[in-house]
Amino acid sequence: VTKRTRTLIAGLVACLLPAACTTSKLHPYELDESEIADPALHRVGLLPLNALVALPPELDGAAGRVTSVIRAHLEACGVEVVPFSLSETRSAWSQVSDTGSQEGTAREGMRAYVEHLHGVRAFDVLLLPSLLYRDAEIRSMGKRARWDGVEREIRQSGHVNMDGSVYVQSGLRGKMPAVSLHLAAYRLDGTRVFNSFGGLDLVHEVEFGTVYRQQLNNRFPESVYQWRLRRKRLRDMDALREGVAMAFTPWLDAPEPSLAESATP
Amino acid sequence: LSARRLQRACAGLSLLLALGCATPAPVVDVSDWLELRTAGFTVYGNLEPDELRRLTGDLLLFDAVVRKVTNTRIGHSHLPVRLFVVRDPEQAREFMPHFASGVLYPTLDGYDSALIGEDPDSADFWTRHTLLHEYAHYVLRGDRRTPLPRWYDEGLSEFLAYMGVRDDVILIGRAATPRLADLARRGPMPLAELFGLEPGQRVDLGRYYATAWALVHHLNTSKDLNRQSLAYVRRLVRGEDWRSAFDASFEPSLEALEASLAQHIAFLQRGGRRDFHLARSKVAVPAAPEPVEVSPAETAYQLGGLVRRIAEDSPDAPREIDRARQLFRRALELDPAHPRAEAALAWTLAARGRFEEASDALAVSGVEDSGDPDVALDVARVAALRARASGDPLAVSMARQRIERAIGLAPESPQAHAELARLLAATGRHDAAIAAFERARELGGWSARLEVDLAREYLKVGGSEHAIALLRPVARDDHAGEVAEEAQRLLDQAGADPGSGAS
Repeated sequence: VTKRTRTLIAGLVACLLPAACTTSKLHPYELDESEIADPALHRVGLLPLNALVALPPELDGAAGRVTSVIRAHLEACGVEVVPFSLSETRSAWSQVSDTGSQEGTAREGMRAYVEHLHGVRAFDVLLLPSLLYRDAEIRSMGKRARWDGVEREIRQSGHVNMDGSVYVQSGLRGKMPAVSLHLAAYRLDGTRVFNSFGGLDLVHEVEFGTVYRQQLNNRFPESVYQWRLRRKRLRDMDALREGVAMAFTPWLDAPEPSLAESATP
Repeated sequence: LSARRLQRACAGLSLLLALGCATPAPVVDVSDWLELRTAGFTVYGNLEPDELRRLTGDLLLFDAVVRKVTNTRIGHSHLPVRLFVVRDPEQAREFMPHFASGVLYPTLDGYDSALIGEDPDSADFWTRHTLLHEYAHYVLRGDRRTPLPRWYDEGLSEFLAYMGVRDDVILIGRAATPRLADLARRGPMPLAELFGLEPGQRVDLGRYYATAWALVHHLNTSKDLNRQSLAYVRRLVRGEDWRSAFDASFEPSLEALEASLAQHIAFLQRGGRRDFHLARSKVAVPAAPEPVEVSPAETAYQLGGLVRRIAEDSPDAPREIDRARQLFRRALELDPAHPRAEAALAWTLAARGRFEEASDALAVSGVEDSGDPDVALDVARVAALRARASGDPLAVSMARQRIERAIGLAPESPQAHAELARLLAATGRHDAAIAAFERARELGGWSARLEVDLAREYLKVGGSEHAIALLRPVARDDHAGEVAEEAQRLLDQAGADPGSGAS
């Protein structure tokens, strides 16, 4: 791994940190205001999901569905999608990493990368979408979670109270893992014009149980819980559409579908 | 409470307890099983046909990729490799420890794996992952005579099993998010603890696997660390003490390696990647075969065979043998004309000392002179068990004839040569027994029991160096249970220096 590669990766990883983004009322994003409704934006170069950062392996099966929703959103915004394959993006990455200056900054590296891909197929802006785990805030007595502009129900199994709330000694509050779509868009000069997160869905459910702690000669029951990976992950297309639209807000808002369109199965 | 009510309550409680204690093990469902036979392995399972075929296709790809990216030099094993994918988790646990979701059993007769194929929706991740993980153990073991250190075996199997295919690219060494979550919660295990874990020592398995995976991932990111780690593993396999092997292999100190591992984990937890890729087009993969239905009787026989092979090295062999007998009996209930099940059933009786019943079963079924190699082997094994128990020269002679017949029908059967060796050992012919054991070793897979039996013969003829070399890896084998303890006792008797390395 060259120093340049490390710089590039560090730059990319840094851009994933929420602290780097403006936190709006709904979801965190950063946007170069001149990009809103930019008439020069015709073609978006679309990288595969998580082309440059790790895709959690348990989300492999969802990559196709999320990508199709992203493409549909871009097309609904009247933008032509210029897709790149994973091998193209990986090979471009290797070439830029190997030939670039050892002391280059993350922005210079990104410019070289965007230029390289632009040489393969032309576009106006390059879009890097990624699925990432984020912290969701647990609300409503452990029944719901909110993060990155969306709110979802928390699936539960094990011992749940009659009203659906849960009681555990350590308390079901705080945060839980949730999946968001991260979008980063770059101009040809390597400038990032948009950086945003939109919450997609929860892929874990909370599983409750009881453990017995031995203290002296007595055993005491204690309620415990763990996050368990759900069997069906990122299958709710409405949730995906909402999250993807949130992630594109306010850069590319798709027009509201007409009644006739929304009734189409 | 009145005395009468108390009496009634106690009676009710004892009934409940009795019912609780009498709860039988779940009856394994033997209907709707399928078989997919490839050049290198066979998958049995009771999942949906498409699902099982997809998993088999994934495994064929994985096999091709692992052979391409690792330095494993073996071809496909000449021994059978069977993977049993059981849909129902409770039934699957009949074939594995309760905490596991899959397990690989290297045995003298081949490699067996049992795993949970819980449900169609999870098949895209956990079932596939477990299948690849267990298969990786088999490929890594290859023709190795001694087990790999456990942390390395588990860590590298996990590292490989996270292989993924995305579009036109195969990704290897991906960040294992569930393991990273474990590490975020509990932190990595100290390396001294990871390396120094003794067989049978209790450990937080989640943390252990996560640390082993992260360490192997880290060691694979640098050529120097990779080279040093391979030297370290080679020393450990030879039986050297972990601390001296570490100091002789690694440039960084243990503390420095621990610090760089922590940095590596933090990098991965932030979403960084250190994977590498292969073009999908560069890996030739045969198409997965069509699933073939397996009759319920044959399924019961195959599952009985699995349990029997597990019993070979199991610390709980009597119970396992009885369970195998139940399955063989079931096969016969479903198909009374199943000679292999008849012979296997007789073996389970003989293995529990019920020689008369075993002989009667063979005589009644009329399979004693069968030309089927599997049947002939079981007939020979029954005769050998009886002869060894009685020491009667006539029984020994009869057993010898049976074994030679079995070898004649299947000259490369490791089990037949092992039976011959044990019979020769029991009659005091130690040199001939050693030769037969060595032949069984040459033909067969890893068996801790065989290693110990052979070592005992070497000790009897004064070959303590050979014996110690055989016993050391068994004593350190975390999966060998009581056989490992037996190996340690023999090592103590042989006066082996516990700290010293290769012999």
